[in-house]
Amino acid sequence: MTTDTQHSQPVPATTGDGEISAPPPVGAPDPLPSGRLAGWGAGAGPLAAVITIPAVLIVGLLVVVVYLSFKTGGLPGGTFTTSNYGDFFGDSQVWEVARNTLVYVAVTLATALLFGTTLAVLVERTDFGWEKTINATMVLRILIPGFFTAMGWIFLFHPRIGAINTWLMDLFGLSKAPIDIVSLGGMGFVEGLGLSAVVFIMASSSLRAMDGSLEEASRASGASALMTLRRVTLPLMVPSLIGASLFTATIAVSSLDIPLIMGLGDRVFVFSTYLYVATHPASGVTDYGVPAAFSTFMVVIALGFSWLYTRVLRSTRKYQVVTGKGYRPVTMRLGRWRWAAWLFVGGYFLWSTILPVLMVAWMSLQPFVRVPSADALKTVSLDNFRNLDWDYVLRGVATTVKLMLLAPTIAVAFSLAFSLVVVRSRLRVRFLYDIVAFLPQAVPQLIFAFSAFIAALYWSPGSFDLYGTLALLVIVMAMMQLAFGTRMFNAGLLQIHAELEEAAAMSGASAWATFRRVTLPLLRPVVTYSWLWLALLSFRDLTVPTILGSQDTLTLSAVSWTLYNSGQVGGSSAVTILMVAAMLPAVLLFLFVTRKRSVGAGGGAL
Amino acid sequence: MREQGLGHPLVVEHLRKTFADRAARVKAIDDVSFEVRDGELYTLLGPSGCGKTSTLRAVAGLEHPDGGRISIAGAVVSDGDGGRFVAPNKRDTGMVFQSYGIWPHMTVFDNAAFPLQVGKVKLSKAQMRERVERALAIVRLAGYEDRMATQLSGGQQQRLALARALIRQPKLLLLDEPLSNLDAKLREAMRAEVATLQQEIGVTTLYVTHDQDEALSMSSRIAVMSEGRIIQEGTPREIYERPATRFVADFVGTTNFLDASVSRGGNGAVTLTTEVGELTVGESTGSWKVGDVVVAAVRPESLRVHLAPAPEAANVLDAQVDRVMFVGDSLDCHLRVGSRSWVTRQDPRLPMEQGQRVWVEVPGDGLSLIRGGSEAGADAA
Repeated sequence: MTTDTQHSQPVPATTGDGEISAPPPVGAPDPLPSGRLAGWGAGAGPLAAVITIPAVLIVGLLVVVVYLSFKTGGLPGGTFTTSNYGDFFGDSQVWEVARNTLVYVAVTLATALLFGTTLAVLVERTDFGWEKTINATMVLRILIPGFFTAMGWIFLFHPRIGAINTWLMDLFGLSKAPIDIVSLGGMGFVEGLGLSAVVFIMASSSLRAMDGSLEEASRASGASALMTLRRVTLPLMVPSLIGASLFTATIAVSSLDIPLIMGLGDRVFVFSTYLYVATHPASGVTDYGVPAAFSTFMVVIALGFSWLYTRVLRSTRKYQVVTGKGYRPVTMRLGRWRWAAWLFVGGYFLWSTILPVLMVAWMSLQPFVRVPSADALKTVSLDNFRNLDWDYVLRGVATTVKLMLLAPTIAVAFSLAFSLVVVRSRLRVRFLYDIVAFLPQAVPQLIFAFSAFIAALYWSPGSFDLYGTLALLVIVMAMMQLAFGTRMFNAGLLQIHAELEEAAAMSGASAWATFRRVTLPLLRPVVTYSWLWLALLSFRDLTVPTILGSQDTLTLSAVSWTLYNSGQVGGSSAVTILMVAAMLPAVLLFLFVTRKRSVGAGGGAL
Repeated sequence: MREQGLGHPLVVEHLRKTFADRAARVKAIDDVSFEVRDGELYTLLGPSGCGKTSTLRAVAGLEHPDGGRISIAGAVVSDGDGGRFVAPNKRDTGMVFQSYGIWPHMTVFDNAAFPLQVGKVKLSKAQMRERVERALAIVRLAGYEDRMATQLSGGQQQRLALARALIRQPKLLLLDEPLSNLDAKLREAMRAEVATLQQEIGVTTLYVTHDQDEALSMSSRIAVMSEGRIIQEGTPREIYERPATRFVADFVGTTNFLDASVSRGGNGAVTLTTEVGELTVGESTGSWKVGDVVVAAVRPESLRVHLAPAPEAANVLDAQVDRVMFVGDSLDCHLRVGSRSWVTRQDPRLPMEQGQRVWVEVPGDGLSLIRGGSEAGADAA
């Protein structure tokens, strides 16, 4: 976590294909200091002052969690104590949550890595084809809300109501459901299916950046295609796969939707649901002390892993394999194994996306949970849609729309400021801003939300009550999105040759004119891309809105969850289907706007 | 002493700049002083890392010097650390970058017009159009106004960068390795073109390059730099024919060296004793005493190879052919002269074989003397 992070971010920050940069200098230029005083260098000071506000906010939220973990009851008014840690380490129930979290994350990682990496190798290194389609579908896959898949899988594999289970039991006369998805393994698997899209995008961009001649050298040395894959390609992918694992694990820990829908009913708790229960206690008793201690523990682990990861990256930097030339080695021919590849790809999309979507659509048309059958077809109706509490749903729509417009706008503006300071200024402290902007990605966002929840609840300045307001939701969301935005702009700025800005200064342009006339227009594609992507992520997120939202600020995803949680499965399915329908035009717009650039960069800031 | 030079387009005095490189401080510019006269094309020549680009960037205002003074057209633009420092956009200069810095999101017209658009003096649309068209015509880009800059070839982008740098009619033009991104053929063509253009417009130019051919063919004067300092300053002919140090002799062109000591000294003609015989130097700069240890330097093209002893010629050294390479228009010969390996180019028809004994004639006026022993002379002292 140093200034290097701009290159070492786990998520690829592919922005365009060099079209916005000047031709790279060849020959032997004099060595230049790393941070160049660009044309608008004079503006660095004020900019740094502006971004200090969000920077303090991000660090502050983590400090609050640590602070509260040393207070009785986790309340700002409590007295100093270390008993929260005693309770945390001593409470067998909390330890069970920790163990559950570990199992859940492990299954998630295994699933995501298996599917994501295999698909990436199929697309990038074999003659399977369908590259564009699979890439676009995977981007879409990231945007599908997690609770959507979770509901779909419940309808498929729940031991009692799951269609597949019911059919299997009927078919083979089983007394017990053969597959139990409402388990830690099930949760991890479903989460992993979703996150495999993130791994796919990171793995395939690492394959695209790899110097193809390394693999061709292996083939020329007499190694078979499979041998090359095993001995050269996969080992070279390891650093980026470690990065993907870390990133994916952090999202899995933070994600609330799947563990809520699949685990809450059966009281299978992981870290995220544990924090949810702590902030939404069934009884009136509130104790934030142990959750704060647990969160502090997670922060320490997350930061530790990030630190280790940057160390790994630095040592692997020695074997620089990235050429950026986009030179692709000869592809592996699938030959008679093509059918197997088709089975894999087809099966993946069928089970991870198509069937869950169909099941949710089916349930949205049924008065109660019914396994699809000829008989059940008779009860198909649009009643769920008609009977929805439209007033309630429309309030959700309003909140979601506001959130989608405001949070990305704030995030993009601040991200740009962060990147300008980090990449272009010569301020001695610029690396600090880089680290801070990286925090919302390194630490589960759930913890930031938890911290903001308590802070807003107990530290409202005067009559200005932040708790439960849209402002709080927007601010926290925007801070979380800084990680993604800063990464995009760092990469974008690094692609803009500093001489383009210096040329403006040499032409007599002031700092502001240089920014307005040269830097900003060159970054426009990155601005559009980041804004759209963040808006789509704001739409799908359940974690921050669930922790921070009140009755007045329920987003659509929170509405759907609330309906589901109160047993209105049909209504919840209906809202979810409407959400996906509403999202489609936005996604199509996104794919259209970004059609010229590689579909990388996804994944970020889930 | 430099006071009367203040009217020059560019005066640089005792410029210093250090960079932090991990723990160490690297002296990028170490007390550099020079002045560029009106209409000159003054070149900073040196290997990468010698401080030439840093010097140019300090003149441009893109680097903050640690010390020293820079005056452009009589106005001090940079004075010591923390003293006066004029921002790059407030200096009366135009600059062409190594990568050209052509803005890909603008048309050719907008690229060239940019300095006028952001300038203090507001021009009417018609005036601007006229100025831009004139500038583009000068660099032979007339008619390209409405194209996107990215549609231009490398050479065209280069010329556009030149037009943009010139459109404000700056007092000083700064060129930072402007030809290094072009392929070899185009580079040679552009060399002549840029030099001609510079002379026609008469703009005073500071030129930075690591390419000796560029420096020799284009410059009014050259300053050879090494490790942040100017080692030798002079006209291209002076630099080439009378290198002051071993470094200059080595860096500018190919040079053959021979250790020698002065056996008859004085001003002008000097006689040297070497391990392979006596040499008489027709004319040398500086005065030499008997016993001075020197290095004699001679350019490959000054040498004449005889296949038989040539008693009528002076300064003939015994040599052995190490290797002969036919390169088309000439023979590249590697000769062993005493303990030294020399190279020379000879007529391709000369019948020479490896191992053959030959006699090398060293014309007295082709020799230059560098003070010091065989390993000395790298320093300016």
